[in-house]
Amino acid sequence: MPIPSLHLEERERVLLVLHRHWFVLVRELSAVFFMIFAGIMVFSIKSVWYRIVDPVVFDHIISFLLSLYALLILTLLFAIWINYRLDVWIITTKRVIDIEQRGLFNREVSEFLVANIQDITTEVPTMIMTLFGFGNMTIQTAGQKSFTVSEIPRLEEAKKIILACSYAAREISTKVQ
Amino acid sequence: MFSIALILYSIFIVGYGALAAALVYHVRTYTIPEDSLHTFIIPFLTLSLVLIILSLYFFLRIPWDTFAT
Repeated sequence: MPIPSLHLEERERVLLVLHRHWFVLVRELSAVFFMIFAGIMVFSIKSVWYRIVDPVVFDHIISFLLSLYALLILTLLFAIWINYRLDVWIITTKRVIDIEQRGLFNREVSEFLVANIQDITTEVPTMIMTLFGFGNMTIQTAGQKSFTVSEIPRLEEAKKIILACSYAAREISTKVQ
Repeated sequence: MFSIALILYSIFIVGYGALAAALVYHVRTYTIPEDSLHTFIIPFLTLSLVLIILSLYFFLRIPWDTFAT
């Protein structure tokens, strides 16, 4: 699974690429769906508005406003989708790369070597997370710095891969010494 | 009334264009090549253009003369 933009080292392979669980996307899109529903409701009760505003004028104005509203909703949908897809967690044979998109023009990329990993903690704290099979993972490194990744699927698989790579990296390091 | 509305509408469209450009920039700059996010750029831009044209059509159809009287 070569990913040129990651600048992989020699003999470094990508083992797992994770995005946040799809339930997170659905949760964030629910607000947009509510906005769409609200727009439809405003349009559907136009008989009420006809008593206040001239029907011809109202129809033209509401059509114009709804087209602008649709534009905003389209942008919001795309922005939510981008924010979801740009949050990535990549596990390679040598590193764990945590890419977090916090909004427009606000991006954080953290990398740490699997050889420095001391402790991994996984948690599935809520009923929804348990039902849908996703949770949080906290990784403690030798430098006492911890990284927490929230709401990711395949927790156990990711943990096994990271631990396997960490043991392998330490064995190589021991042999070299 | 028409002039004021046209100015406000133009400001909205320019602002929307800037926002859309920022979103497309993020996709093109930060998405890994294997990600399917690239495929959403063209539909997003196409749909945006259609809605902008539609909004312009409805904007010009509003009877601005009735507001002047």
